[in-house]
Amino acid sequence: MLCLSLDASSLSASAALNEDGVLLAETYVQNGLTHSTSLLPMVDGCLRAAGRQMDQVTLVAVAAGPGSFTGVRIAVTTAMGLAGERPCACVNTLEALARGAEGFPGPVCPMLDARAGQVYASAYLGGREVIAPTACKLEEYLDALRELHAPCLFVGDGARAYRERLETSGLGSIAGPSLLGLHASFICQIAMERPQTWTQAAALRPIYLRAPSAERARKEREQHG
Amino acid sequence: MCVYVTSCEEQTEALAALLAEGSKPGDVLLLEGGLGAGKTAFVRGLARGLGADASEVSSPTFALLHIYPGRLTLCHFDLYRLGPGEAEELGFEEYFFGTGVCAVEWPDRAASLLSGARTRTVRLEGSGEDTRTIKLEGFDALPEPGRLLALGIRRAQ
Ligand SMILES: Nc1ncnc2c1ncn2[C@@H]1O[C@H](COP(=O)(O)OP(=O)(O)O)[C@@H](O)[C@H]1O
Ligand SMILES: [Mg+2]
Repeated sequence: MLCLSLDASSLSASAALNEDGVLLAETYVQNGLTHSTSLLPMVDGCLRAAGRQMDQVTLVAVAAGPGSFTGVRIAVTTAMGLAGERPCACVNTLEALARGAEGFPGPVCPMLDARAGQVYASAYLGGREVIAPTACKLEEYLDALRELHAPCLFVGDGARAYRERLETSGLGSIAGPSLLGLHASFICQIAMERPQTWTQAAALRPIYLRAPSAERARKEREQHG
Repeated sequence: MCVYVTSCEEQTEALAALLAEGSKPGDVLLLEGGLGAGKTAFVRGLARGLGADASEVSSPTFALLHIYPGRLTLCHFDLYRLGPGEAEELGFEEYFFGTGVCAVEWPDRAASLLSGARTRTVRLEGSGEDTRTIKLEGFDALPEPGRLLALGIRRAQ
């Protein structure tokens, strides 16, 4: 299996190529350009660097949010265009960010800035979700983390935006710079583990568009196995 | 313009449900008012009036758009977190000029996009456990006075 993944859900953009569990290539940029101009050349760069061609790709995965609404739309639309008839997978941006800190013994806490004094955030302990992805005030999130009674590791660009508050909160530490932006290789990992979530390209939806409830319930069942 | 006064959430929902009965494909309701004014409560009533599952209607977490199937499809937008200029990039005109009924919280975030749609304005004022004044503008049909009376909803002025 050859999985191509894309992310444009924050200031950075990233693409990666994973073959049967081996990361072949990954690009990551934060160049101030709009993601619509960056993404396709990045995909092309990954394919060239790995010596593969688009027609060898068997799965297209995308970070579908939460995140910048515009960036998510660009990534999802690009993924649809590239996928054609291939299976596709949406991965939650927060979960993919947390995957970067796999193996950390305490709560891994991805955060993205959500405007209006809020964050998109969740938390994972030993790979298990302990706080579901949510949009809330920063302080509400920190209160929830306090209940976990264990030193946290903050990842995602929200941890950069709110660095001072996190440092004084005494809740844990902030990850190094490479875990503050999303690297697309983690999207491949999650997508390849979950064939039950694969869909046709036409069914890809950014997470900010919530489908009717019956369909949502079915998708959630599929996601949680 | 027409102004009503509701004294609880249920009355706001009931007023919205009555208005939904008269709604047509392509109607776009702009819901104005601050946090806690009752915009989402109003949408819950619209859903009920359109025969959709009203229990599903909630303030969104990170969703900008929830879709509820009913007699007409209800497209519920909450644009609170949208940045300047973002609405234009997201392709929402597909819904605003579609065949469902749109209810838009924080419509000022997409003012230029919405200006060409068939809009009606619902302005909710008040906060807390209190009465709300609800101003309606641009509706073709208003609820029958008798039905409002039965629900205990007053007309102001
Ligand atoms: N007359 C009323 N109409 C609507 N909501 C009311 C009324 N009186 C009190 N409330 C309360 O106000 C709150 C409105 O919340 P919500 O509908 O989510 O507001 P918004 O979407 O405008 O932020 C609810 O807690 C509701 O119980
Ligand atoms: Mg609301």
